[in-house]
Amino acid sequence: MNMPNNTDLKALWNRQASPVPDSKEIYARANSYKKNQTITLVRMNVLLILTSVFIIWVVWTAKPQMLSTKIGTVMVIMAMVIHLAVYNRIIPLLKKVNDHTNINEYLQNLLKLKAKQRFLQTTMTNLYYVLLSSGMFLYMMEYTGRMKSAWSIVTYGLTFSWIVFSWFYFRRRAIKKHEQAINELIEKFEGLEKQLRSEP
Amino acid sequence: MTFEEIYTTYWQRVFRLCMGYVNDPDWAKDICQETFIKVWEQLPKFRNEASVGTWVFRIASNNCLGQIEKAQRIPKGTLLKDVAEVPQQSIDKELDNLYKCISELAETDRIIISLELEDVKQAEIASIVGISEANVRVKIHRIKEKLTQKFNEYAQ
Repeated sequence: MNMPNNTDLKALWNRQASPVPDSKEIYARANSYKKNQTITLVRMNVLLILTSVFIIWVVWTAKPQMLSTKIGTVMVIMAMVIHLAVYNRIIPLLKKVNDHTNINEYLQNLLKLKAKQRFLQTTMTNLYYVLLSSGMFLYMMEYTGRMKSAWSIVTYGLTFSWIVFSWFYFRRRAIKKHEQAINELIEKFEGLEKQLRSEP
Repeated sequence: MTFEEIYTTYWQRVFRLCMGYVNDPDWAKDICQETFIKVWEQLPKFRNEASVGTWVFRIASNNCLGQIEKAQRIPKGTLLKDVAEVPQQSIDKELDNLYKCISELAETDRIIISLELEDVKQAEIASIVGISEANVRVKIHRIKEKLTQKFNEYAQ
């Protein structure tokens, strides 16, 4: 069997036939995509609102006297807002990659987006941990102040150890996981871009 | 052109392009569907800056390249490609060989040759890929050479 000539090659290529599915399949799939996206977004935001309402309720009923408790509460809520905002923002960001440009531009846009995403994830993860830890610390001040000094040392000691552990373990692990995934993608997209740039 | 017209005119052609890229009928159908979802969503914004064909093929080609990210998100072993381990017995061995040879080329080469075999004009391929027409011409020539070599190796 020898390689067919150009015309034969095209004829051979055209032998690949697949029944055209009903276009209703497309509409159904598009609608289910949209529905899923909306559900995820609504679920995340409801969760954020409920948590914030709960914290505000706790603060409201506990009637804190010190300013540090109030500041701490605001910081913890901000940490959660940031955490969810990153997820909420990443979705529309991904949509920004215009996929009806040519391949070359598409790859360049993807690379820019991935670099932005990498920065966003790292910075925001750091900010999330800083706000959450300092917020908790400030929030606790009023209540530990009412404790006997030995108990307050134990409470602070445990909280501080937990913060240190999560900073060096969970935060690092989260950043590493995100970076590894994004770096792999960036490398692959750069490879594709290089294929186009290479001299034929 | 209405969506229905675009769909019936281009489904087969986009499917073949996706097949050239992934060499897996189920996966190709999946990418093809995703492409038409995008076409459907973006059609109201389409301003005829390019011909409908060029526009549809651009979306399809970018969608093919975007599969890298999708493959990373889905754990190994759950991809359609991995599920369909049992080789599909096709009666057309020559056709199978052609797709096998194309799937061994570099990603962007797969798209270029698939568009060429789909009879898309070289000027249009240049506008889909984003390189000069002269570059496309030379690339096609080189890809065909590689393809011939591979095809003959499989045929032996």
